[in-house]
Amino acid sequence: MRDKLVGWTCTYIPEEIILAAGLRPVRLLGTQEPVRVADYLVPSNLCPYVRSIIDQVSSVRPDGVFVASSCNAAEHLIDALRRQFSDIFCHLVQVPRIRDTGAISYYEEQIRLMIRVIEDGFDVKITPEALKNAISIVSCIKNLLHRAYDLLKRPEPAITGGRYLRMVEMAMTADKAQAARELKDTLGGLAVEPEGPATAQEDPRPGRPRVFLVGSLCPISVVDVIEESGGVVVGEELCAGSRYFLTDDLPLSVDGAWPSGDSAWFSGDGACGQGLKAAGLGDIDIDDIIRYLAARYLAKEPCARMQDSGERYSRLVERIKALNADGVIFYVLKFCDMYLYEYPILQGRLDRLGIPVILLEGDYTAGGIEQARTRIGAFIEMLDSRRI
Amino acid sequence: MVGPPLDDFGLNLTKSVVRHALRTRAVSALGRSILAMRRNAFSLRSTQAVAEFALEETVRAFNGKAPTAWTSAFAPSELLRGMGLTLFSPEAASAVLSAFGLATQMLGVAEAHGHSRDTCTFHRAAMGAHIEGIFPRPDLLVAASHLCDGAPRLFCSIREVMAHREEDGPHRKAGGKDRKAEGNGADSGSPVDAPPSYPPFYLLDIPWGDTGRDAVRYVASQLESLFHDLAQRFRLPGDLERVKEAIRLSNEARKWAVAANELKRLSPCPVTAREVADYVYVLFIGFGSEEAVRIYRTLYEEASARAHRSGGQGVEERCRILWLHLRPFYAGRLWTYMEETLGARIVFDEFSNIYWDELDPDKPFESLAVKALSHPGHGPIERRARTVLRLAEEYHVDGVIHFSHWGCRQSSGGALMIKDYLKEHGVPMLILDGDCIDRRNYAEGQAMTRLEGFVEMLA
Repeated sequence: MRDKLVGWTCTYIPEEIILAAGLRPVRLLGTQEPVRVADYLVPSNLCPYVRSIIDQVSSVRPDGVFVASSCNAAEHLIDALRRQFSDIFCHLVQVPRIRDTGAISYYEEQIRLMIRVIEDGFDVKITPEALKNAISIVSCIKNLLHRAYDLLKRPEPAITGGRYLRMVEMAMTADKAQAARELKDTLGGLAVEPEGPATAQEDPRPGRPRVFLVGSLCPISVVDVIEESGGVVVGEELCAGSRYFLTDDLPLSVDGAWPSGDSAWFSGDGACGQGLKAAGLGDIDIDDIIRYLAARYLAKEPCARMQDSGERYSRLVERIKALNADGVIFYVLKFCDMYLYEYPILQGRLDRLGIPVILLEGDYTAGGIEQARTRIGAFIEMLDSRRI
Repeated sequence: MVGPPLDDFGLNLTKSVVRHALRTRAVSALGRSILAMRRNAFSLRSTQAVAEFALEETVRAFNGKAPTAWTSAFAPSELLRGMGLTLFSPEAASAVLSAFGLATQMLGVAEAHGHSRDTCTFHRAAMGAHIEGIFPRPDLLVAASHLCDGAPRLFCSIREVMAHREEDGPHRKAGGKDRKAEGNGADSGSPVDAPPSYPPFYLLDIPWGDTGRDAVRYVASQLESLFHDLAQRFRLPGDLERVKEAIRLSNEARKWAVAANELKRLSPCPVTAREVADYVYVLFIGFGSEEAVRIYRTLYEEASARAHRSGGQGVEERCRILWLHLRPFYAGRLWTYMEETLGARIVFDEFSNIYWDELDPDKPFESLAVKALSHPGHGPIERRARTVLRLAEEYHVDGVIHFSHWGCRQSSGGALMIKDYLKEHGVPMLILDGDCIDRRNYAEGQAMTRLEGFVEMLA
């Protein structure tokens, strides 16, 4: 008998709850095939990721789906799923767009509600111990991904962008124990020294144009094309990339405050179970854990949907500068308002720094890759010529 | 947006004329004179009053003494009016640009600055106008996250443009004033200090489809923070009594709006959506003002007089239509053709629906939170669909038309599901694709052909 699969759509959804219920959380990444079912439910000028999820759910038939209130398209997604798949458990998680204490309290209630509906929907009980264990497992996975990302960010990346993003995808979709094993094996195979230079580099061609990737969901095939075209991906800010595991640099405490000096949660050795002990959460009750989750998730690196006074862009630009990126590829899914509105802001800031940026729009199908190849190739060539 | 398409006034307006005219103190008198001279262009006095209100509020935004808040659709106008702010709706102003025939230019400006042609043209035209310095300078920006994603993102971009102007050199006094916020406070929900020289942006986060106690508390606390922060930052009176008074005015306007809506149930309908579509301006930023009370009371009196006077004689009403979302604001024949040629009367439109209960002046933040959370379009599609079905029944319509504005994910994204829902309940619905602002995205001939077929089927 297969594990019960419960899909989730947004990195603000705490998959730990699903895991603690004894279910298998799976990030829904849609299908990159042309959609069929979605055409009957939502218009063609709606987010292609959302449209593809409708078709994915139709074919995969997960046991449940958690959708975040990420954007208008996601709100239509939950409507479409409920309407089309009445036999599948579907729940909308309200994710605040702001990050103050009121928002944390509200999100705490949403997580509490998530626990209630999953207990009712699947006839299970989520115990504090199960939740702590789930937090440890997910933290372990994210910690390993953090290390993989560190390999990418090196002056001479020790891993290709395509391989790195496939590791992130696997971590979000595979069984967690399997994912942890595979990540450790992969990282071990790369003979990684945490603080030192890589001893086994995947990329034998130094000096290639360094590209930073920004956007919503970007098919990995686009990253492959960047690297096939002579670019090297040295960093990214993607929905199915670092936003899954990167948290705010500020460590959290259970009361939602950000005390200094306690960064153990994400800087441990990646061993499952160490995080909780290191953070001193071993004896806390479930209310504290829920509050902790709410605060931690809202403290993540914010995506474009979150309220922002400009600091998101400042930080993003700092990341791009710190990695000595030669250029930025801004990949947006068609009709994704969050990122379409964001592009001119980032473009303006990068223009001021003399960092070239290109906007690529995609429909999340494999069909558009070849068109993108021409533009990517020209962009990489231009970056290369600037390096001479 | 306000009144008949402005092309009908025979004014040959250019971008620079608009920009310079609106900055002068004489414009109010001039505008009022034009509106008075062309009063026959308005079929209702109340509609003329909407035009006057919009004009004077805009002039106040350019020249007024009070800080100007740019607000998104459905931001809590009662709270902001109660604090003495002048309100400016860039989305409504884009409709005016479209009516002036200026929207295409403004869209081009925004597109040249990297704004995608797939985004909402209400926002893109506003961005172009802001870049061109046509709009008054905001002292603060207040967006509510309901209903659409675009408005908060637009405001974020507006702020960015202003920040770069500050960095680039002497401040461009687009609005003819250079008021700066006092202090160096933080935006609501985002504890990051903002440079004082460009406006703070407040986002009100309105949970989707959640009307429970936690959601009310969450939104109410944001409103209360906004109230106190604005009072401190702009040295406004932190006196809740004025907010309560604005809420009483809002209730009064609501009462007349509901009464006027009641009359629209009559057949033939005494006032059609074609005549009152521009009241969406009042819906967006008017509630909480004395003008809104006067406008809706006048509308009720006019509708009532028409109902009694004519008894419905002489009006062809082959079929009755409920209109969802907005209409094209540029000059066109769509609605005229529907009503006068096809005899299809648009008896009600979605933006005339008074969806909220009376507010409690003694609980201003909580009341406004409940109002925001209760919007039928901000929640599961069944909520909006049930509302549409109720309106279809109450206003005895034969069919429903959804105008799918190209860049609107919120409304257009759910159109197919609403159509299905209505079909299950025996109510036919037509989805018309188009664009409210950008005539380049709209094929009127095609729309008319589809309308003909739909009306033929209904009648």
